[in-house]
Amino acid sequence: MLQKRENWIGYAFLLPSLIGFIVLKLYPVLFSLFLSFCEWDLISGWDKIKFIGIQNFINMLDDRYVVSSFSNTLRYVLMVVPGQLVIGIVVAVILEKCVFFKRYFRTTFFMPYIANTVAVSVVWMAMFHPSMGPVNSILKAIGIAEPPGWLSSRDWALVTIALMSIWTGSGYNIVVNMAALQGIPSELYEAAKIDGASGFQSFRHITIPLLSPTTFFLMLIKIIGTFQVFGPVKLMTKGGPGRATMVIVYEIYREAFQYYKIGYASAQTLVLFVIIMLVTLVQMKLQKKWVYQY
Amino acid sequence: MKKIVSIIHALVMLMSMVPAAFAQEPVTVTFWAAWSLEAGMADMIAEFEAAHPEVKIEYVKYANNDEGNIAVDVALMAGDSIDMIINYGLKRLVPRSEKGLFEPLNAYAEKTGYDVWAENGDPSFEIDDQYFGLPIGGTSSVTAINGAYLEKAGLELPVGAWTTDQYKEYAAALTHINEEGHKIYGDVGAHNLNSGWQSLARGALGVNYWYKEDGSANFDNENFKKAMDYTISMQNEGIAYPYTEYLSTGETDFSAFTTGKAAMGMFSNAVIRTVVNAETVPEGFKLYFAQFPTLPGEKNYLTGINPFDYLSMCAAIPEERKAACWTFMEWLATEGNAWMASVAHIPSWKKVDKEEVVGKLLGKGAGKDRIDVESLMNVALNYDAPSSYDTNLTGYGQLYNLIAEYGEMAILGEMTSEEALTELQKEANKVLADLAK
Repeated sequence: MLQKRENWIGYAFLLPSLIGFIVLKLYPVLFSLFLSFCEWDLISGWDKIKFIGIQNFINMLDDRYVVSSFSNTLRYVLMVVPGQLVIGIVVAVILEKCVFFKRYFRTTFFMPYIANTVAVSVVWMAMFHPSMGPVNSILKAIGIAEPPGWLSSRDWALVTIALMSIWTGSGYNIVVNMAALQGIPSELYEAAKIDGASGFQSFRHITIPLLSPTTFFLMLIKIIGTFQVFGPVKLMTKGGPGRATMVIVYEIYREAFQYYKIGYASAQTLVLFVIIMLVTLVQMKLQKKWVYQY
Repeated sequence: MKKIVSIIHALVMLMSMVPAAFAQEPVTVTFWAAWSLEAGMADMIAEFEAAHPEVKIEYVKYANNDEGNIAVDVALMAGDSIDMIINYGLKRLVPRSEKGLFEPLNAYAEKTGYDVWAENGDPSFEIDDQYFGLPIGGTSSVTAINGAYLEKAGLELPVGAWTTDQYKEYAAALTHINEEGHKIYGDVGAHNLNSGWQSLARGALGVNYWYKEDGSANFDNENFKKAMDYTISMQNEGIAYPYTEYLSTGETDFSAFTTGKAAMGMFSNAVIRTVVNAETVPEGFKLYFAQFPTLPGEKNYLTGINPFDYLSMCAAIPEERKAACWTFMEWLATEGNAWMASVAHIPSWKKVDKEEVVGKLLGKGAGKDRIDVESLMNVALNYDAPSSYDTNLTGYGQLYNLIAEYGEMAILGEMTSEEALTELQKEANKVLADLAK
């Protein structure tokens, strides 16, 4: 009896967060799932929601914006995730082992991660201005007569956004890697040194393997995050020039909030969710082959 | 005696309370628009409330962009937070009216003897002879010219109709290097490709220029090619502010003009607000107006004032509030209509005092020193020229983005104008066919 009562009290304590979860998370997810099989324009009212089966998904196969946006998103992920991972490890090792004022540099590298995306985007737009930006001025000074047009170039716009994302996101990786580095037993490095291993060999055979659980964690959350890129695209290019930076979340936003095709946008969201889930599952499966648990 | 004094005192107190008991509380209604209170809305509301103390207006500013209009749609569906709203363009009024979110206004107008056609013009959109928005304000298309550069180049202000060829000659003459060594462009160029290059086609083709009579896309019309080629040639000849600058900086054509980086541009009357509100303008800056240019040999449908601001009432609010809303709506459409000029929109009331309109357009600050009144009245306030507005809005958002996309491809040299327009026509027809299913 007492056990039962305690259970109820426990549930009562859980109720506020449970209500929040149901109203703000579970209901929107389930409603979005339902809408992905429907046609609805948002302002017509609930009674105008029309069930159309898998038509939204069929339409996607023939939609060149969907194709471009998935391909651009994939390219973006392939640029940003490895970039952030490599910088995250290399800078963390340098800061941890070879630099004074470690705390100062750690804070400095972390700053872009917590900086406002709008402010960062404006600064990057100024920096990468084709004729007056400091980046192209430097490139011209070192002999590159015709530097890229960056955000105004179809070939470089996505790269520019990716560079910005690498810059803003690496700080987080650096901080996490630095914490992980402190957990690697120093005896391993000492033993390697006694055995005659060079600094690079220690890095290659001790640091990288022992950081692999952290690297795996970072890779996973970064892949999930970068698939959902939206802010920099909305602020800097609005998907252009042409369709050069049209990424999937921006395309979902356009369909939902410019064309009022809520059902179609929900279907795209579901596809994105499935892709991210599959990629994550594959990663989980593959991690056994390269993540070193100690 | 004491008793009598007490009774008199009580009676006096009681009588003083009688008017308060019978005085009506004003009915509070919300009015949503996209302008700030400081831009004249506060003064406008104060004037209305002084004339109609029975109604109190609660002003809500919303953002007239995709996100802001989604918020509006959701609020309209919820049915209680918006009493009246200004819809910017038919693209907002039509879907909201079709979904039954707005109250038909005919009955209210009949009750107070207001005739929208006689007072403000065609309400543009009706369902079963019922209209849902009062056309209280409009926009005009103009060429804005920086007088300082005009004078420096020794050019006269163009008066009356002129062509894009003449415009180009002016742009070339106005292009120069200034004292600081910076290039000043003759034309602001195509900042916004949705409304930039294709405005010339709009001018030549008139209403519903995106569509053929059978409802299919009209981008294979030669005027679109002429307009696109013209825009590209302005870029290639270096007399229009480079499109790549807009892409890399997020700058707008308004700011390129008001900061003096470009001397002239094809704008809507919104340029007035930008100039009036600019904190600073270059020394000697003065805004002159000329007609919107036409493609050679073509007509010009962009000389008049085209309805743009539609004032609507939410259908889901209580009757008492609807009556109060109508009092305000009729006032803003007539006696208070000049206030539309305070936000640089052109009042539509046919009896509006033009002097008052000019006064409100120029504002209380530096506006009068920055804007030439004579050309403003002749060009931007040309009430005599016929107005026109697009009534076919099929696939508006998608076509809008396609136009921008292919315009961009052509202007960046990724496609020729023929290729871009062929693709645009094909994609637009696909969108229209999908919507027709």
